[in-house]
Amino acid sequence: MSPLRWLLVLVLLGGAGILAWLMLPLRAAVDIPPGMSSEEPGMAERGAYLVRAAGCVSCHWDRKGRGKPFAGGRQLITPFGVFVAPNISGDTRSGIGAWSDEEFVRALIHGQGVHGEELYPVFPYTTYTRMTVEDALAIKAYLVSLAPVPAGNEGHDLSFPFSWRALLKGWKLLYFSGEPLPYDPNRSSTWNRGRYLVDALGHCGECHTPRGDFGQMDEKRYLQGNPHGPDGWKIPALVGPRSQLAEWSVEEIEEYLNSGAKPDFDSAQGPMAEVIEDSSKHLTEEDQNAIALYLKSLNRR
Amino acid sequence: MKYWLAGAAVAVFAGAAWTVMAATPQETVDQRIAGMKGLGGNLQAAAKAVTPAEVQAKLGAAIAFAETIPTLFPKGTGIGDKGVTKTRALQEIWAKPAEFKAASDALVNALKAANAAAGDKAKLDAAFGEVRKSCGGCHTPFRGPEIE
Repeated sequence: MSPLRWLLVLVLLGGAGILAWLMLPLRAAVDIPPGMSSEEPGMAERGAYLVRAAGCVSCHWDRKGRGKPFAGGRQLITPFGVFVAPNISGDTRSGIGAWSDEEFVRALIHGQGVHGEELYPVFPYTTYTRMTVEDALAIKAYLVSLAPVPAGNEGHDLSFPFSWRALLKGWKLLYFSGEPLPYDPNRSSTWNRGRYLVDALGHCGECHTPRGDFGQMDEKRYLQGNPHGPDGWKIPALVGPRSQLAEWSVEEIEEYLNSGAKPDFDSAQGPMAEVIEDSSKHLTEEDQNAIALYLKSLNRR
Repeated sequence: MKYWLAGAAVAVFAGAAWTVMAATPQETVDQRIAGMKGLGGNLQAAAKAVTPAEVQAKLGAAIAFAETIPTLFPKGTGIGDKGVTKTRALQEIWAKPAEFKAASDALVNALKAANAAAGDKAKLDAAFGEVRKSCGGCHTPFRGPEIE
């Protein structure tokens, strides 16, 4: 064969290889320590609080359409198309009732569905990946402890090529690194807790960090504000030159997380009002304090 | 004397109307934004003030501004109106004028109650809570998303 033909064969083989890699489900290995299970006593109670902290219900609930909490159905309008949040209630057919612990952890921490398919990062596994496996299992325990809600999962309505799910494998290769949050021994346990609440459970960065062309968070500008947030809202900076938090006291941040009241008597609206209503106001005073301290530590000038 | 007073009143009102009319829609919006920022500053200062006199001074300024709020929203200065490039004022303001007026009256009343409570820490804190509620009571239905 001539060298040109060899080249052609190589290109074809390479293309077929990439295609096969994109199409084949490659399940990530899930590491659940022996003896740890969502069925352990007390897990559901722990999970109830963690579900608050992780703000699951805000997306997995079609409030306007009078759906049931956790049954999904809320439409999330993005530049890539319309995503419809799935049912995460304990229903065995349409929800997560039949999922194994391993499958649940794989979804939350590795961004893969039960069939090994890659999940769209509109589901913030990009942040939840920093969560501990134990917390993930507690969340599952709580969700399946609730009354199951049968609700059909509507498909997403995405524009091409984003509708081609297989491409997510490439996206994840570029933009997803699943690493747990390390404990910083040089900081207080409160600071570490605050960081875990902000950077793992609360997934604050998913809205407060600007995004690049392919929807990836711009890690270099972490929490520096996002001009194109959900529902067209401009999301303010929590860090950096445009952040107002340097002027807020720890107590003022706590008050805001608790009631939405700002120091200037304005109040939270839009997506943040939802976060406060569904999530932050239900946190303990200790956790609100930890978040405030952590955010203040990022605003030292 | 009566005629003179009436004449003066007419002149003042006409002057006020003229300043609103003369401004371009975006200028009206900008004045409004500046006024609201000033209101926020006065309220923040009132909440941090120590003596009753300080509290009342800041609240007095806040009340004076709050009473003018309905006049700051002439028709044609909302989202999507001609010549308006930056505002969060929803068209609901003009679709539901009675509700809008009631929401702004609620603020004035809450501020007056706070003013009367100056000197009594517990009462004042409760009154500030009502002031906060009244801010949200107007912003939630009548203010749109912050966009860039």
